[in-house]
Amino acid sequence: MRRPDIELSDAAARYVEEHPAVIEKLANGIPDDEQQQLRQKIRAQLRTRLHDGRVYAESAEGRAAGEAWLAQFGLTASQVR
Amino acid sequence: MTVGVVLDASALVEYARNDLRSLPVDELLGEIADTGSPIIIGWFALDEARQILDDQPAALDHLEALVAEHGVRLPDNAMTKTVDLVSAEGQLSRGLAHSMLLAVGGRQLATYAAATLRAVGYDMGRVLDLDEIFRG
Repeated sequence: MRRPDIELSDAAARYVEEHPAVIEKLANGIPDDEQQQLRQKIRAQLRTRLHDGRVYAESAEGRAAGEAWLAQFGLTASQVR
Repeated sequence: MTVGVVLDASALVEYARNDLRSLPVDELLGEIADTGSPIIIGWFALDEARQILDDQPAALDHLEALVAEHGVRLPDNAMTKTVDLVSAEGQLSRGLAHSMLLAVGGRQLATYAAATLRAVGYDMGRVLDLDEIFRG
């Protein structure tokens, strides 16, 4: 049975081919100082994305999109909390 | 409305393996802790992660420590039926289906399977694509 959440999609497989440097780092690890720089970069990106995502999820548009997705299964948000 | 971040199986597995791809999840956990928001781990996603990591005892220990800290969201009968429905209709794993359901209603879904979510028409506005961090 195909496992789409853990198997590489075609797009992900293309990414692997197109970004060998990233794949090499994944395989071999990175120096501590470079890791700290990467962590700072990641944290900054996450902070922005979490804020933007939270604003969206709590917006009328986000709530409506969530309710619409659940409605196709006969559910409301209160039923899946 | 409860705010928080749901971790699907892909995020749990990468966190547990403690390599480069665990950094976004590790930093996410730190950022979430700073804001006081909850981390949501669905039972089916945890079960899948445990199966994937079955032959990696160090990773399993790391995963279980995370679960001990944040707990796991157990599905009741109604939720299980809904998970099975979403899983079957979307040809998705139960873990991903459960994570998608848990994220609706004010939460975000942190995942390395964003492409799969996009392909089944999920609301990408609430998806935290962890792979995107490495493409940025």
